[in-house]
Amino acid sequence: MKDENKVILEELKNAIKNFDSDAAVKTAKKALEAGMDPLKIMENGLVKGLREVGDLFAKGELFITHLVAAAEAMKSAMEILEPALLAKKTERKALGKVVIGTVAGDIHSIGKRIVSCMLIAHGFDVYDIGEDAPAELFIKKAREVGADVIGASALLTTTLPAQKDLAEAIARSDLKVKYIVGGAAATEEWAKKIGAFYAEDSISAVEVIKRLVGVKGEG
Amino acid sequence: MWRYRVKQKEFDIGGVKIGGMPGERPTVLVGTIFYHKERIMVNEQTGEFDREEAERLINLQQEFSDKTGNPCMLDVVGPTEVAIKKLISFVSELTETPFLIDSPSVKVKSAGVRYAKEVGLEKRVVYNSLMPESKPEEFEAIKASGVESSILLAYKRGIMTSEARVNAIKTLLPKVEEAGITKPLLDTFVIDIPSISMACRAMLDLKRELGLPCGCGAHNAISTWVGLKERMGAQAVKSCKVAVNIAPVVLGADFILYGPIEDCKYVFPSVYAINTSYKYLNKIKEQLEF
Repeated sequence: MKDENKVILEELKNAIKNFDSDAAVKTAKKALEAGMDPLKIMENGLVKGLREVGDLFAKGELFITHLVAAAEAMKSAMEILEPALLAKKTERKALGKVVIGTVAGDIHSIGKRIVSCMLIAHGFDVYDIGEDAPAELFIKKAREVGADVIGASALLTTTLPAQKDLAEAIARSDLKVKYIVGGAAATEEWAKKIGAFYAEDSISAVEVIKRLVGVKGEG
Repeated sequence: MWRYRVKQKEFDIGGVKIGGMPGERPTVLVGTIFYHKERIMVNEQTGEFDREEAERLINLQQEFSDKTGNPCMLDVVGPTEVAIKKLISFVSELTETPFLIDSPSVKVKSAGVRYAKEVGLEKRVVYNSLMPESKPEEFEAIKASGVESSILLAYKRGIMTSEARVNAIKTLLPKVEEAGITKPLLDTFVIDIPSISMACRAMLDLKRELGLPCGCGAHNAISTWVGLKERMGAQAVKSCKVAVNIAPVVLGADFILYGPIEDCKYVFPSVYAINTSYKYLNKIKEQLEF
């Protein structure tokens, strides 16, 4: 790789680590103009930057705001890269595809958002279907994108049954997906009862989902 | 420390006065009780709880309120519709303190304000909370209840700056007015440590521009801090709780949702210390003006 390109990737990584959307967009444009492969720009610049932010979040040295801001900066740069990725018909080899949402009746988004950011930082493709999402929407999206994993969050004890409904809907479908639940109301015991996997927080969610898609070590 | 040029609105909620110029009156402190997984909740579905312990905690907060002169309120969190009614009955019979009706579930909160109206408590309660993304049925439930006060939470997706917080509140204000809320309390949204500064900045802007009572749930910054205890020891949790609750008070917050009610013993004295200092400056009229 040319030294100049290495510098651009470093700049891109730093833009994410500095939560700087403007710099991320500007540098992504510069990288494309320099003729760099959009997939490499994404993987060796943006994702690396977000991964470093995610690792510092897991250690308690950075916070939710940093993680979300870094993910927003990456999203802004991806808007520049996506047309180039499509034009080259290159597809990223993600660790796996995860459909994630908050179950029907529950409008809480922050925990799910953190899990999404951490999964993206660790190389997963994440499809966030939002909050108050019915089981059919999880199934539909998982089928559409060929998901490996469905993740459902519930903060309320009163919306836990929706995690069970989703477990049953997955079982009834022809999907070959793993199902993981989380959120303040869910417990390991509950997850076992409904035949799902469980993650206590965003950090364990990454570990469990890596295991579910067969990634060993740090991936 | 300073005065705003804009007249500051003051509300009376169930006998507690809130709002005004910094240093003019003590910060209103709101302790949360019956929150999710709190040890005094015996059964979240039925609303069964340890009455004796709940009474002790409510009295403990009142005791610190009496000692410091900081008015208090209770943030009553109900897990289910059945539970919220029981909790409202208990709190309203035990104390004359105004209280917030809170729940992670909109249905439960709506049931709570309906019940408050049924038993004639609608002037003594505060709805916690309305957000820009709250659905129309939530506003309708409040309008029907006759509740006059609500926390307005400056939260929506992608809220990463103080400016976004100010805009979120401005979007929300006409809707809550339509729903009959005449005493809005602005919560500028704390989720973690970095967000405290954004919340405080938004608080200053909102008081300067709108003159409405402002505050935040500063304790969230500690409950979401991954590994604080492991990295810095158990004492760090307590000292940081005090620090985050004090920061907005130093910047002139009218109210603080300080977190679990049992923390009243740390929070009231530390807020009292700041209030006392500011009260003196207010008296000798040496504040800055902006």
